[in-house]
Amino acid sequence: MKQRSNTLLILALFIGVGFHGSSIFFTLESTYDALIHLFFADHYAQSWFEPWDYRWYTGFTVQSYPPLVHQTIGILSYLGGLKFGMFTVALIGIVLFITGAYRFGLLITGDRKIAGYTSLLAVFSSTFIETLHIFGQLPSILALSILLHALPEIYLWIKSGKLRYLATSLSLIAVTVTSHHVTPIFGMVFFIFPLIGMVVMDATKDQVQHNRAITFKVFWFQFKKLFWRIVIFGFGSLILFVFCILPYWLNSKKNPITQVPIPHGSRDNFLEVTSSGLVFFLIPWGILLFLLPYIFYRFYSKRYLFFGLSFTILTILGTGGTTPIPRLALGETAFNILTLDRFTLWATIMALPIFGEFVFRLVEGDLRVYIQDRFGSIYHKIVGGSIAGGILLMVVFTMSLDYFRPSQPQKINMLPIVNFLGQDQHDQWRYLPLGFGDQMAWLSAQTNAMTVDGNYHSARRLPELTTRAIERLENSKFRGVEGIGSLQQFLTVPEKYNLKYIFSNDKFYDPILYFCGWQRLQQLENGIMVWEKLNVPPIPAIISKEDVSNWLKIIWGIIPLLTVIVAFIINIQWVWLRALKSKKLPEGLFLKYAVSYDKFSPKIVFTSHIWAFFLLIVFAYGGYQAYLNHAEQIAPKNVLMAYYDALDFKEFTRAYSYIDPNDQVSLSQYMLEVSVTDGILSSYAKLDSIGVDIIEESDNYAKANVHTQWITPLEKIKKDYEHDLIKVNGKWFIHAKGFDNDLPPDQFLSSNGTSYFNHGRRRITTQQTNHEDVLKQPVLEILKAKLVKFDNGYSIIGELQNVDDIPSDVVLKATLYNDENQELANYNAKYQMKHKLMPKEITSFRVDFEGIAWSSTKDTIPPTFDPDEFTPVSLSEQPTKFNLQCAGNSATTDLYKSVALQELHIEENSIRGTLFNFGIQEVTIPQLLLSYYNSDKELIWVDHRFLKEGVRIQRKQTFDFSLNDLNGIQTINNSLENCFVNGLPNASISRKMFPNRIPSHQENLFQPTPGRGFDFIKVEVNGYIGNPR
Amino acid sequence: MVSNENGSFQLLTPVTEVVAGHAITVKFRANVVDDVYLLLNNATGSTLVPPNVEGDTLSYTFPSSFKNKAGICSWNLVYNGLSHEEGQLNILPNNSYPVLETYLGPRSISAGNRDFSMLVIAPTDSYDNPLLDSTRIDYSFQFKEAIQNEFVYTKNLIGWERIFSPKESGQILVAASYDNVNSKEFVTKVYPSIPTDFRIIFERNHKFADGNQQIAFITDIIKDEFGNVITDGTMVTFNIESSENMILQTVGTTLNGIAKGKILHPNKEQRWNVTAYVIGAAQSNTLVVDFEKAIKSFDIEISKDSTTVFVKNMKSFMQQLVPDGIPITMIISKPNGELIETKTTTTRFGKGSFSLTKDFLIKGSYEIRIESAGITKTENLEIE
Repeated sequence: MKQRSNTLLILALFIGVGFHGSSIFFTLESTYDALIHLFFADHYAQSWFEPWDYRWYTGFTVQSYPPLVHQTIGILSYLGGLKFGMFTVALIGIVLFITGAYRFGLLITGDRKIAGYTSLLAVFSSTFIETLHIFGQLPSILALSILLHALPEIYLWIKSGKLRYLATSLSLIAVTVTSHHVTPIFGMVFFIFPLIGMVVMDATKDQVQHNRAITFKVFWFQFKKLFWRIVIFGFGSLILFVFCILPYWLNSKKNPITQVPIPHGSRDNFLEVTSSGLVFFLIPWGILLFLLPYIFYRFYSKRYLFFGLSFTILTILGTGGTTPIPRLALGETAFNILTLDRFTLWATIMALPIFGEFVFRLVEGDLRVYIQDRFGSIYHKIVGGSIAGGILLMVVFTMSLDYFRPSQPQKINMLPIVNFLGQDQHDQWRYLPLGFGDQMAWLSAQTNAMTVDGNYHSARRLPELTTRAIERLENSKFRGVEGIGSLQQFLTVPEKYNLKYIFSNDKFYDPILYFCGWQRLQQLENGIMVWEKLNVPPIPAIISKEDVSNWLKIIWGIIPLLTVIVAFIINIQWVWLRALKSKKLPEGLFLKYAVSYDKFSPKIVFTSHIWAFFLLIVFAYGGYQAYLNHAEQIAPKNVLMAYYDALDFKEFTRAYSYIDPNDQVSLSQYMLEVSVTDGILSSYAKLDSIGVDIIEESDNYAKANVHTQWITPLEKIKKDYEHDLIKVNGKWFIHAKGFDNDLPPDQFLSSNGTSYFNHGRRRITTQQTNHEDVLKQPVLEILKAKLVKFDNGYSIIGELQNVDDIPSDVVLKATLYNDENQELANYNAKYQMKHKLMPKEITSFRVDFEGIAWSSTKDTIPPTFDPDEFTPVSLSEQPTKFNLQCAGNSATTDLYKSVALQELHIEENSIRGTLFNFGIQEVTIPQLLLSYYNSDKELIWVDHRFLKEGVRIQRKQTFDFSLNDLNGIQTINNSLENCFVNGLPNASISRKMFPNRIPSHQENLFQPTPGRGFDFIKVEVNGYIGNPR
Repeated sequence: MVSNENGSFQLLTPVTEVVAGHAITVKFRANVVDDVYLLLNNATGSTLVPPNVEGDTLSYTFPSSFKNKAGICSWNLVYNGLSHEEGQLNILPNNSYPVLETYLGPRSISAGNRDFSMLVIAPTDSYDNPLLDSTRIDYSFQFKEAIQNEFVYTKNLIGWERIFSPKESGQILVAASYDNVNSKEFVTKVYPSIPTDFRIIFERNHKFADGNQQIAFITDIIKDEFGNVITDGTMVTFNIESSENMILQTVGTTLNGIAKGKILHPNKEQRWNVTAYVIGAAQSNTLVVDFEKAIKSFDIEISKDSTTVFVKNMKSFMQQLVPDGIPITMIISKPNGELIETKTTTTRFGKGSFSLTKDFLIKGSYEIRIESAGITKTENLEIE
């Protein structure tokens, strides 16, 4: 009998390569993972045998991930670049997956036609589309596809005992192992164990007449017969497993993953977090959900029993935190490390042959006959059409998911950044991208400059990162406390990491950068803002690395591709023959276990109908719930919630629709008045929680207090609003608030002042700056400094002045010592100082000593966002001395000072007042520095307050803050002895620059304020300008 | 002539002093020619030199790293692990093509003869050897019209001189030369010294406390003790003590010695005492600024249905409507003094209004107090 080419398989390949192969060019680069693999590939392309890469996490080893896919992309990149390599590997993955599904289908069902249907369904399976086009998990896809190819070979080895099958199966296992580590571990359990069960079952069946005669006794007998083949295969694969990626295992042992668990959507409760349910449950299952009764029915037939068990476990594990079962089954640790979506992936792939069988029976088999007889041919067409429609709907929906809900920021043109890093020795420092999403990996791949961040968190080494459940610093705002907290440490003490440049693609981070003492350098032509920190030393010429022995480097560089070559040689003739059909192939032994489909069980038809009906009801209910949530104006509370939601998302047109139409505020007027407000609350805040108190309510009127909490990069803001609500025509509306009528004094105004520019005068050269072009560091003088203890934390407070003639950027580093002069802690000044000073300007400062947050209390990480969160460093001993190192660098930007303190009212424990901006820049986030003095006019504490709204040009802005309770503050050391400016002792500067200082000037600025523990305060104004003009 | 059982060597070139860069060859007559090496030692290292053999003459040529380096270079003739001959050469700097390494720093100093920049000159030969001590270096510096020529002798490899700042601000150009070799031009900026006391005046459109006009405080030209106008950008703080004993503040940075700080007029009658400071260094006279009442009075009107309180007829000093944005506060309380509510608004077209949603004001009598521009008025409200 001549074998004919399987038209369905050819059709599947044709469509699969055409559809996926063309769409990857639009999807793959914006997936979560693809660019990470590209970065690794770039590493191999640059230094094939050297596993250490300095570019991420202050250095990490690529031996922390199986290398085959990366090395393949790397080697292909020599032909046509990295992206060519990535797309080629993706295409190979697509072909391997479709053919793998075909062979798996053939193995399971023993029917070529059904296998053909399986491969066709694999092309359109939503789980594959999601894994490839949304997650971009190339190694996972390749490893799984090759595992599918290996399964028939394993079957044949165990069944027939022919050594050639042992060779083919082990060669394919080796390729799987070098592609991905998790797939073979779990593939062994969930695919190969049931397969072995099936082989034994088939062997048992050979011994008996019909299925009913299969008893456990016969089964056990057959198992013993095949035992040694199983053991040989098992040991063979175990050896490959260990040996092929030996450096990986050694590295895992040497650098155990210390990373605290990072939340992942696949562990959520899918009913609570519906977005996770959609991505990790509904999409991968897709149309299969409707067929679950049939799938379970078939998998629990005798032959597939073990697959049935495996499928059940995979299905349950894939439901994440929806039920407590996965957590109990896997244990707390495994549950928090594994991403559970892979179980769903495997379950849905495992179900493909059964799905193929179902479709076959529906299209041309017994189910068609049954339905046509029972319900008529129209109904058959409807059912068939619905399933086909459902499949297509899922395909279109999954493919378009990224279009409607982009998971990544817009594609960034990296060239300007790469050029920037290449220029002027900028790559001598580390950089940090902010708001780049997974595209940061693509940036890293294109430059040799190093970053403190990275995108493969298992390889992290810095405790600042491993102790936080954050994916990347780059997107730290999505990780609340931990995120911003972690980021703050890098921003406050950047010298520690030689971090000098930040590329900001998200203006959310701008205020924290400014108040940590960073300055804007330039906006690149792709719109990315470059921030720079002064006084950061370059990376030393020699940086440490963890070296491994040469033989590990060599086997890591050689074995992976070697496994591919070996597998290719061993399997080639078979693949070739299969493709060309030039010679008759040995029949797969599994082909004789095909069942004949002559009678479809009516019970299953019935059950499936019930199940489908049930699912439709569930979906309808979900839809109704969604509709109810949109009924925003049925109660005062709803309309307020909706209004603040709209404000939060800056949907001002929607917000306007909740305003009482009788208030005669036009939309354009509303937009105008909303859009002119700038400040931390309107431009940088995210609504964190909202509570509505209805104070009084009657039929048509209501009055409510709205308590809101907003997250900003700087602090958590609580703000209460009061609203009057009116019911008009059955709908509740919010009474429009009056807007500030404040009229600026002038319409057209002029302003002049001193502006600065600093450039090296050197010619363009690759050499260091000539010594005669190095500017003198501006001289600062520390006027006061003392070590105080307050609320169990130690702080250094004081005042300093720029005594030079040019503006200065100030970096202040304080170190604590005990009596034995041992260093206890050091930290830099963060928010509590003005980082930019004009000549003769004074700032108060405070340095707090922050530890690496939560490093000791991993299990009590606060669940919600709190940017104010502060972890005092734990000191082993009482600090008694301090050292203050103050560095000035000439500054030319952020020197706007034109804000006056217009009004001030001191009340009991609070301070109220007005700021007035008389210059020509809008101050987006004004900050007040409050210095507290005792009755002897000695400084005792420094604190800061951020105003919630900005001060527009020639406008006023009011503030109202409580004053601190300073009872119990304790001065430990009050000496300027160890204070240094630009490396010189402060005392000598004082003598030279300001021999006749008049101290009373300062004191005249103090506001008498009787308070809790203090008698005077001083108010200084500082401000961040979001859009300098 | 040294000889022993292993060999005998005779130095043929008894030179002790050479000039750097010139070829140096040391020759010996010897009875053995194999494995005889010359060991060279100078301040930076050692090396072994193999001989060039011609008959019984061994000649050793110094490699350039040794012949170019000024200073003592000692040699040993080594054979069989023993030193047979030794000597030393004094290599002198080569004066033919000198180079001047010149440094001047810091790049900026302050005026007044106290502060200085230091000029450091290290003359070297073309092989980077410092020239001998007591080499005379000429240097010049220019400030405004005057150019001074001076000289200095090198000592311990360098010549150095302090260049003290003059009393005037400006910039000093410095150059050095030696033997027709000239340095680049070096610049040090002389910034003015510490500011001295100054005077301030104020500028305003009118004297009324309308809360809307700006008043500017302007310093005269602030100078240092030598009469130099202080640096642009110097921070001047204008400290305002209001008659309510509040310390208000505005700031200005100087431009050509003049700083200007602005602030709005208060919105009620006040007296301000204003003093400006360059903190720690200088202060101004104290200005007394009086602001007169701009708004003399206003009317309160309650709508007939008791839902709105209007504040009307807010007129400024020329009977014009007050500029928009004057804050008005309304305090509603019960006759027994119990506070019900405080509301604020701002004026528009000389008017302001508060709405009283009557659902919440229960029947009874209330006292409505309106405060604006330092004026307080009360009105009674009866709700039936």
